[in-house]
Amino acid sequence: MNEPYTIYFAGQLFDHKHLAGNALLASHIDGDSQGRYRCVLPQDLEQRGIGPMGIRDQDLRAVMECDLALFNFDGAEIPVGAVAEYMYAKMLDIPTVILRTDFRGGGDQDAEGDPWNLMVSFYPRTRILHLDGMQWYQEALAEGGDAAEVAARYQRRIAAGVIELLDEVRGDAPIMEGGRASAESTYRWALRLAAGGLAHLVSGEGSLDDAVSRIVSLKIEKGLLSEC
Amino acid sequence: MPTEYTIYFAGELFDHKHLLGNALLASHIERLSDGRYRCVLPQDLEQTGTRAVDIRNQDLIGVATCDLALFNFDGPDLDSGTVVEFVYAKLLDIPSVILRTDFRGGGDQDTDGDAWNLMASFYPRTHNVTLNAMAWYQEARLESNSAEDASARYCARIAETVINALDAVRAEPPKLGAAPDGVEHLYRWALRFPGNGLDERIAGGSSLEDAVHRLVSEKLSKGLLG
Repeated sequence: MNEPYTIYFAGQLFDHKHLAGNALLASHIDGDSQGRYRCVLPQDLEQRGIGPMGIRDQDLRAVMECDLALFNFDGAEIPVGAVAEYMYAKMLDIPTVILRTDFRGGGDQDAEGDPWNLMVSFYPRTRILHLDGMQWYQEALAEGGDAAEVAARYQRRIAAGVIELLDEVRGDAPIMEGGRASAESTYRWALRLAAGGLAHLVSGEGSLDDAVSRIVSLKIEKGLLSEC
Repeated sequence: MPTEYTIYFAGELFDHKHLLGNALLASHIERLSDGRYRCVLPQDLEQTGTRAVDIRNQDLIGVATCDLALFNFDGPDLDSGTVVEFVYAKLLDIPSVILRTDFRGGGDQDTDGDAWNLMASFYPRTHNVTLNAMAWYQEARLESNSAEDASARYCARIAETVINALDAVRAEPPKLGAAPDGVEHLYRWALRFPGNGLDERIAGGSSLEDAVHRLVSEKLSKGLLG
């Protein structure tokens, strides 16, 4: 059995609904993809005692190390932490799925556009799953059962949509040209530009060059970046 | 004549207060810096009838081609467009000033931290200016006889603080210059990865390599890249 592709699972994580919703959807993606995907949730990473900069560094490292990323762009204004991570992922040429379940309007684009700020749109190697969270919930509710059964039915349907797009975007060719050398150069700079303790966190006691080479090699092996 | 530095002026631009506030502050920054700084306001670039993707590309090019950047981080939650531009500026190692005048709390950091999401904090070559807009406004109002006079006094005081921060961050050495990797390589990638015509737009009729070379050379001549 092949190793699963890791999915950085970004989105709001500020209240009980966010935390439980993220955990349940991630669990369904892991379970329903037959081991193809494994979600990495920032809320499940250690947060105690490392301070805000440590949390930022830990999350940026996870974005870089993951094979793909899922961005939950919900809310009347999409969460800015997820937006920062999204830009970081795009800079690293990470295949990405955006999920919006929020049925409210938003953003500054026309009726056919995305319901968020236009600066976050139009990036390649990205798929968007936009569904009406309320309508899907009502449909799951109408099929009966208790809250746990409804929740499972609801999340399973969303997870199926996400998995389909993860499969699809994984098939997109890398945008980044120049092969391994170019990728390693870009990844090294991505670790330096954020400063803080990020480069040290990734390299540990070894060299940064070795750490970056390992990350890039793993992605090349999986066909997510080009060797040459 | 001093060297003129262009400032990408990022922030909310969605209602009459945002638009006027941005225009007035930019005007004061230009005047009080004695020609040292010239602000480039996205709201002053062509938008009528323009497709969303073209506005995005126009603004990303604005970030890339400016010498420094000023990010207005106001609101209980930051404007996501401004956060995109901030991360993009940091990728390009552009000296940046963050201005927060909003007196409300926000974000997910402790009381000593920034009043916004921690993922937009701790980037180097970045100076924060945090002030209490209401307190400064009230002080200006007390010293003035009219709203116009108070507004001018208020904007001038904020502009002076921003100019000091721009001067300070401009003096910081480049981060990208310290890396052994090619600056032009990273600038080319920054113009390619957003896709959807950005690289073609900045290249105009020439090649992307030539356009990036010109851009980087100009920044090198001003000491902004190493």
